[in-house]
Amino acid sequence: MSASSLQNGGNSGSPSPKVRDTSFKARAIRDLKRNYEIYLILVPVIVFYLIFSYAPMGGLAIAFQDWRPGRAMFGEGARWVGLKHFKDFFGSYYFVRVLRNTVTISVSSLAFGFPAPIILALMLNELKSKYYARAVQTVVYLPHFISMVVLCGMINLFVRDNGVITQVLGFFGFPKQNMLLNPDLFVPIYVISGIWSGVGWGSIIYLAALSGVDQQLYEAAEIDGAGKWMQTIHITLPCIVPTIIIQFIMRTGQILSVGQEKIILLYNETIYDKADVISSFVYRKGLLESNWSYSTAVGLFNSVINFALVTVVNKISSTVSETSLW
Amino acid sequence: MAQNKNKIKISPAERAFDIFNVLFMFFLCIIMIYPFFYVVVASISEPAKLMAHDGLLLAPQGLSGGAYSSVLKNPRVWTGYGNTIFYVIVGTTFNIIMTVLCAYGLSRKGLMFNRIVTIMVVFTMYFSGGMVPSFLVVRGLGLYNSRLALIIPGAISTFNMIIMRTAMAGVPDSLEESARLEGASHLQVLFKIMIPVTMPTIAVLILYYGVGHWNSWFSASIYLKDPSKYPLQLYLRQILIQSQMSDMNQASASEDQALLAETIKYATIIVATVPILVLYPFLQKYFVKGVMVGSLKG
Amino acid sequence: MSIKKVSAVVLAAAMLTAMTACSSPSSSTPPASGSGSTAPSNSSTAPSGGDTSSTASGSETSGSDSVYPMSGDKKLTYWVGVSVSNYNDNNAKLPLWQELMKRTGITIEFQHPAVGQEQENFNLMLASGEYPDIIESKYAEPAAMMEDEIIIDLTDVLPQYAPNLYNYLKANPDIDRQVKNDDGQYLLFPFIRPDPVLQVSSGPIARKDWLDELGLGMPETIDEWTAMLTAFRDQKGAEVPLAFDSSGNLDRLMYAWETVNDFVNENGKVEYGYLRPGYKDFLIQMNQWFKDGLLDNNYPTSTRDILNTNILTGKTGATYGSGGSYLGVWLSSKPSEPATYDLCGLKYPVLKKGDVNYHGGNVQFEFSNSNGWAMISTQCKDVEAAARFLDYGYSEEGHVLYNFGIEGESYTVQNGEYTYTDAMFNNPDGKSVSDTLGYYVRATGSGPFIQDPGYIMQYYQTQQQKDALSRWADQQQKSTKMPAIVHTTDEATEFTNIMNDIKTYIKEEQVKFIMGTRSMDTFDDFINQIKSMKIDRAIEIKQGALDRFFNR
Repeated sequence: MSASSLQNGGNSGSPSPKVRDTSFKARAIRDLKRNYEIYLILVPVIVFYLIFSYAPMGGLAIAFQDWRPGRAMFGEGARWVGLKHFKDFFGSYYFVRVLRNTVTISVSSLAFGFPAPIILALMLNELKSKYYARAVQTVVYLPHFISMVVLCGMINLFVRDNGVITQVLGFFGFPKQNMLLNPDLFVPIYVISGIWSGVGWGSIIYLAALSGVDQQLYEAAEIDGAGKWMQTIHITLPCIVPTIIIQFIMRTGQILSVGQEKIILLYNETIYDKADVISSFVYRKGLLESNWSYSTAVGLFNSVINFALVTVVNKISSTVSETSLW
Repeated sequence: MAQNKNKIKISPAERAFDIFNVLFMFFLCIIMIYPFFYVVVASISEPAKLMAHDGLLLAPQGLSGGAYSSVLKNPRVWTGYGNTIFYVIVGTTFNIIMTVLCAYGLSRKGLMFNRIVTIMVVFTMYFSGGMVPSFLVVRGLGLYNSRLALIIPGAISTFNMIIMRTAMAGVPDSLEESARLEGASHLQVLFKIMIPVTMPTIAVLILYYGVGHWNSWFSASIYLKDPSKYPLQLYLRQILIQSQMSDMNQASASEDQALLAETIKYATIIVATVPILVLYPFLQKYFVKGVMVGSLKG
Repeated sequence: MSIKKVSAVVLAAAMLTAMTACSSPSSSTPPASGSGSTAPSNSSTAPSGGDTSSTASGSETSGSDSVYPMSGDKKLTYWVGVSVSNYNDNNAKLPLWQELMKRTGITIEFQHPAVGQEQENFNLMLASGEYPDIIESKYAEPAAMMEDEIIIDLTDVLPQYAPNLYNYLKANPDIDRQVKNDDGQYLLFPFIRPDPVLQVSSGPIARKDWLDELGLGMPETIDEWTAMLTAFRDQKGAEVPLAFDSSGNLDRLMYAWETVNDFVNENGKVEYGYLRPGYKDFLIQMNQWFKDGLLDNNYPTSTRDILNTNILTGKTGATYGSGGSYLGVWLSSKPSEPATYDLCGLKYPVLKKGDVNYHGGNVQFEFSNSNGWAMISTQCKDVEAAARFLDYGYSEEGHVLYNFGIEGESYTVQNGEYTYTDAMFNNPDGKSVSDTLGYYVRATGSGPFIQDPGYIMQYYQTQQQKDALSRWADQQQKSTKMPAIVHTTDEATEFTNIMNDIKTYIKEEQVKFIMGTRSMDTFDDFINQIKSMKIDRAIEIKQGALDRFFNR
């Protein structure tokens, strides 16, 4: 989120080209001498990033190979196959499907999951009793603290054929069948459970923005005879719009990255049709089916798309709203 | 909460809204709480009666502690707990050390190469090698099936590091300068000034990292092969998601025991969630603060 | 090597063989070298209970046995699924393995894949590049693994360090050629089921008391099945008359339509079961059952626990399972009501009365081509120890240990027969027989040894189980099973990639067809999709491998 704070003005890019008295080398030496302590502090950090972030990027080479355990990744034994795996993926039956599901799940989560905490925050803000509001907050934050495994475990229990949700819906004529066997119910289950666990937590940031609204504005409005509704539209909302925009930008940048964890905890092969997303596909191809190179290629495709999206969204937002991630 | 203290004139519509709002919030609370309530109630019900029950549960269906005794007797639950506590404590400690070092270094001004390092670090937030290459690196380092595999590769969350960096950058320069003039080294500045001053932020990060370790199961499922090293969540996954629970069910042979499988899952959820629920009221305000720290520019 | 066969056991087996009337040709070559049917004269040749028990017997041991226990501090790592996963998390805790370690003088450090994640864990272990000394996994592709230098070629190892197995293979060329790759290199230590009664282990199961009450008799045709399930639903109040614990078990019913859920060998020609004409009719029938509420509408996500509950609480009247850990467990954990509760095995159904099932329960060869095979990895430092450890399973004493356990604890010798002790059948904690036995023997599962028919005749305590076995074995003579053919690495990669996609696709679509969410009108599109996913290439690869196999 607060990657925005990295933005200290100016473009991200190469170091500023202000050339001072001497050459780059001399300056570098002077800098290193003066600040060696800090650089020493940074050494473990740099090593960490090189090993655990950049070395895996080197490992992306296997996306262009027929790699198997025991086979070399570079040098002699490596078997380069170019873009074969990418072509296979694009031509595969599953390509359209995982892409479609990723977008569907992501957009649905955005469409319903994004406004929910805003609305909750606005309503909490209107509660007259501070104690009541605080009590409600304590309760609605709670679901955020159960782990993903437990959340999905609860979903599994509640929506199976004799689960409580299935039974309650049964009164309204739903079939008594495990809801996770119905492909059409997967996205609703995914989105609603996401809202259940995240809405309270998500509202905190908006509540903070709301608490910053100048009370005098309301008083002035009231004197002008503006009703509550008008106040909300004309005072409250505009005040939290910047927060909303930042949040929204960040979410849109991730439209093609649906994490695999919740998916693989919830799905089953009966509903792959609607539930299988790129990340779960990568997981299955790589770790379950040992198709290492292919899986890596699909993952790389996803990373590249995501990176491009974030860049574009960031570009747009920095021109439109002057907020930027970096 | 921004509250409008002036109760001048309240239109009927507003009054109606207020009532609706209060009721709606109450309803919302019920939705948030009921699943927990249901799990508790189901876990202490008699399995057969629970199975026979249809619809919402308002009270236990009979009383039975069988599920709990099965869960608590299961050594793997305790192993999982022990491992998770280890990962939380050791992992979080390591996280904080690395994050603070990184944040301190990157928050210093006037360094030639800081910008490059910053770019290098931030880039990793948006692009990564992915699952398989990361796995290959970890195994290449000999960390496969080692507890360290859950601690070292995730040592710095770049996101958290940036929160920390922002906090440190916000510390007035004068504090550091005066210390430097007195001949303090950077490490001394870090430990004597920066860490105490940014302690609230560090506390928030401890919570973030701690909860992350507590909830984590995916990397454990990839990097560990020895069940004796499994964190609790991975074991929960076997029970709750994959229904691999027969080892709980000491004698699935009988009808009663087959039914007990029903309530064991609920009991497991409770056993695995109670610590968080107990700690939650005490930690809530730190978490809330954490969101602020994490989301708003200083 | 001479493994003592016990007369009563052989008799029982012979009876069963006669009943099943389809003894496979090599069934007459159980691991007996000294005339198999002679009972050991009581005390003198009764197997000694291991080196520690000081019986005067056991003098018969052949030369190769004298290498045990091996001297020196031998340690090996062993990748194998945990035995008795219900109660156990490490095989080192089990009496069987402790005894094995003691007798062989080799300490085993186990590496167990997590229950339910065996395949994933196995793949990760391979990718980790750190192989245990011994690998036993049904997910292994031995020939490809040898090509990738993950496991060693056993050609020179067997004669040198594994004389028991080597001699057995020499005496049984049919099995011998299945444990080799196309180049004639030995790949693995096999799991061998020499007797036909051991090759059948599972089949349809139904509520006997219901059938009797309803006067239905044993259904044999699919139409009779429909009548049975309908009666269960209407008259016995079964909510889910037909249920399974996995969709794979539902597929067993495909045999009625002369097809299977895998590749078949139709007289030397490889076919893919799903492309055979019967598959569509199978789907139509299952869809009908589903619509009529006869088939569990949760079957794709059902689990063993759910099935147990359904059977024991009378929600389900018919299912599929094995004779031991399904039928046996359900029989022994008889619910309190109804008092008449009883189960029986049913014949695999057919379409026309009097037909013989296409595939039946006999899904295994003498050599099990999926389970229980053990390989030695290239990272094994002490190949001799590993080979000797594995070879022990094929020795005379090892045979008894793997099949019957430890004398005095899990078995005693009565009238020359290895007889399980009462403790195996009446566990004070209420554990099932399969779990209790699993502490002492590997016969209830699989592993690198020769299974003894004497095990199953005792393991199946009840008449219901024994009857079930004979009904399940009723199938046509012609074998359509694929032998243990091998793929080269590249073939294996290509084949697996194609088939993973296809299998996933079929599983998904099959559920849709059965649940009616996909119209049968689109069946041709379904077939075309499978074809466009290169099934022909997969068949071609299989065919090539099969041809090579026959040419070995």
